[in-house]
Amino acid sequence: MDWKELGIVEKVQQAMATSGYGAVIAMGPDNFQYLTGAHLPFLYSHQDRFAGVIWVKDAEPAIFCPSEWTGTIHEWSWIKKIFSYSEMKRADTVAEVVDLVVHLLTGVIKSTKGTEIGIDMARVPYRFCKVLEAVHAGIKPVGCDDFFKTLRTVKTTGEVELLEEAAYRTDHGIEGALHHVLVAGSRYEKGLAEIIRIHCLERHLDFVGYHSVSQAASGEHARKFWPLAPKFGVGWGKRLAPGEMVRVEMRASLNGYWSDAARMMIMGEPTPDQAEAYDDLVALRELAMKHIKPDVACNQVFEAVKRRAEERGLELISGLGIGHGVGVTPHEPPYLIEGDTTALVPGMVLVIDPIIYGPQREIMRSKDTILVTQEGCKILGWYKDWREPHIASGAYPSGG
Amino acid sequence: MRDKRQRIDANIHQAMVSQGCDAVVTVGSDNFTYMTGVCLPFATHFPDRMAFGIRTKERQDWIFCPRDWEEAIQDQGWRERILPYSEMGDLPHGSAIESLARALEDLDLQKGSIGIDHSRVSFHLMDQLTRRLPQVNWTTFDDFFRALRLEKTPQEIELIETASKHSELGIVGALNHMEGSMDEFGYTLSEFSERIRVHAFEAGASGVGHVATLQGVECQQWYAPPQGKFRPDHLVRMELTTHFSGYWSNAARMAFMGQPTQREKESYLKNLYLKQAAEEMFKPEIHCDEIFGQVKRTAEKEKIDFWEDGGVGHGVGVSEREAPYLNPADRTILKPGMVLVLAIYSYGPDRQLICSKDTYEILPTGFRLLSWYRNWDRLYAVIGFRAAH
Repeated sequence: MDWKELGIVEKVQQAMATSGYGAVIAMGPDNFQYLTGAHLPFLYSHQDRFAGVIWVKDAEPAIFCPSEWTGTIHEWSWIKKIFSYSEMKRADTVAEVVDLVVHLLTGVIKSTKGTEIGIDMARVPYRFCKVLEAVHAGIKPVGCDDFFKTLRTVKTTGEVELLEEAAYRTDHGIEGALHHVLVAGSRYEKGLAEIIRIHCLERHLDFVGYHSVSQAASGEHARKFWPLAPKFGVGWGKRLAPGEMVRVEMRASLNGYWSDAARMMIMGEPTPDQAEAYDDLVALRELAMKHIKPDVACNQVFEAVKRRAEERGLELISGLGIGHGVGVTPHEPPYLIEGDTTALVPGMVLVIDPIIYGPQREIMRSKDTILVTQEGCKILGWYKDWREPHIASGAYPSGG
Repeated sequence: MRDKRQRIDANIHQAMVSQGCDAVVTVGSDNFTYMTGVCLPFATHFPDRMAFGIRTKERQDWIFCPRDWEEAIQDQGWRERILPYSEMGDLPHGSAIESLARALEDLDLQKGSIGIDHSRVSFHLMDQLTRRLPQVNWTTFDDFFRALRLEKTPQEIELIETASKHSELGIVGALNHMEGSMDEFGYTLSEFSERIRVHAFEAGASGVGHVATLQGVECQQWYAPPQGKFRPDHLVRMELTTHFSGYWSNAARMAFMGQPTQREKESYLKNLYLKQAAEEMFKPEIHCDEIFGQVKRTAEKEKIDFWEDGGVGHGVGVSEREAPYLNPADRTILKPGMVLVLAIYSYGPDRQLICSKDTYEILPTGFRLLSWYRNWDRLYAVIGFRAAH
């Protein structure tokens, strides 16, 4: 899908027209990707370098970046007005970037005095703002994080299509990999984590390093979120054993839009305790979905699920909420937590993720990606009906 | 864990004392790993989630983190305090800030002088902390972290060397699988990239970061997502960063699909020539900018077309690219214990970017190569049999 087809450009232009900002600056890698369409996974990890977007009202947006990245960004972004800064001139790169930003702003805005310039303060380093203040007293940026949050939480039709496709391919990739597990077979956690990834890549999800991650945790390892730290997403050399619960996870992206998936597999027919625990998890997911509809606040959804868990004597794992948004990052606002009063709006895409314990204190999660609609919500991307876990059988269902 | 990190701990403490700080707070994931020795799961990639490290001058260590990172921290040998904060009560930053503020009050530091990495902490977070604890004197600790991280301890070098080996094995291991199918390579660049990742993990890497396999027009760029299939008679550049227990490697290697012609061989050798020019300067007391100057002069003298935009190298440690930087703006003096990645990009016959990165430890007498698993003196030719490996 062409980035212009995503409808981001028009959406940002409209938002700019009605906002009080004369210009906005985005420097967070997530906001950068949202505005430019360039999915550059390394942006998060080069912490001494800066790429950003300056979007002036009624003017063409511009990108600033290190000169080394210019060609790459030109190729992958729909914004073609790119200004690079040199890392060769001054040891203090921040000063160099600030000079470029000031130059770009003052070149477009007739008078920066009195013009409200928004910047994503929750992302931009403190030092950058202090240098900006020192270099150009006339520019007093204000935080515009809510501006970006509002834009990003409600997806365009094109974004929803991408997120649905990412969710579907990931679900298909997971289920495809689980089909290769036999109860009495020789699968190890590590091998399962790998074939999940490979099945997802076979379904043409993006190949990226960093936090594109698969995981398989079985039995007692499933009691931990990250059972092999610091080998995150590598998997253990432990063989899956009959009767165990196995948690499989995969985060992947499609054209820079993310899936965030976790599912449960049981190695053989579930015991009554396992079946009951899984049913409890399904009930909490379904309850969350029942409450998700326009104008309901995120915290109300959380409270409803929390109440039900308490009534059923279930221990919701504390401190993590029961879901979150997904988009150009796998974990973003709005958050289904006590403290988020964001009202749900059609077009929001959420990952529902109540987390409870299984009979052996396994961490159980089965994430559903959903779209908030006018009437309520709908599941995006189920490859199979996850009201039942995947049950590993004694023989391959269809040829292995 | 602590016994292996004594020198780092002592250095941080000394820096705190010299700065008059009562405590140091780390927000950047790189500085966090440096100070605590703990590597977090994808921390930089979750911009709304964060972990903080606190160290007081009395050597009390605390970590604050989201609930689901707590065990991962313990499992890496952390025996000091961990305070998982709830992400339920307020939007993520609010919960984290409140937890941190309360801890600083518990430590009786609400009027203290506290160093923090201003180049990593967001303006919003710093602003909230300042409002919440108005009497704290927050001072920048960026320069200290930069200076401390430049010179690695033997344990840090060992981890970087191990990570470098994993990257090498990842690339070479994946290349080995190319050999069986000369007429039709068959592999997509995406699958090949995945094979690099898998081989790095098989070798023992604890995580993979940047992965790129570039061919044709894409090879003219610094980065492009892997696309299409391998084609005969093309140069390919493979880039990979991996980490091992929080310490990174940063690798790039070149291969040719088939038997390279003289022009590809020459292009590759020219790149190596520039590397040799830089290596000659790898010794204590040389300034980083002088290394860049040496490479540039050599390129001009030998009429080698080299891409200088990103400099010719950088440090590596708790991040994949860090100070010092081998460019004209960095006057850092080389010292024993520094670890540098030589990343010289020169142009191939069709404007491909050629780069064969290596990692070096600076010794009192020169340097030591940390990254070779095989000999890269010649352009790797994918020519259909495996005995050459």
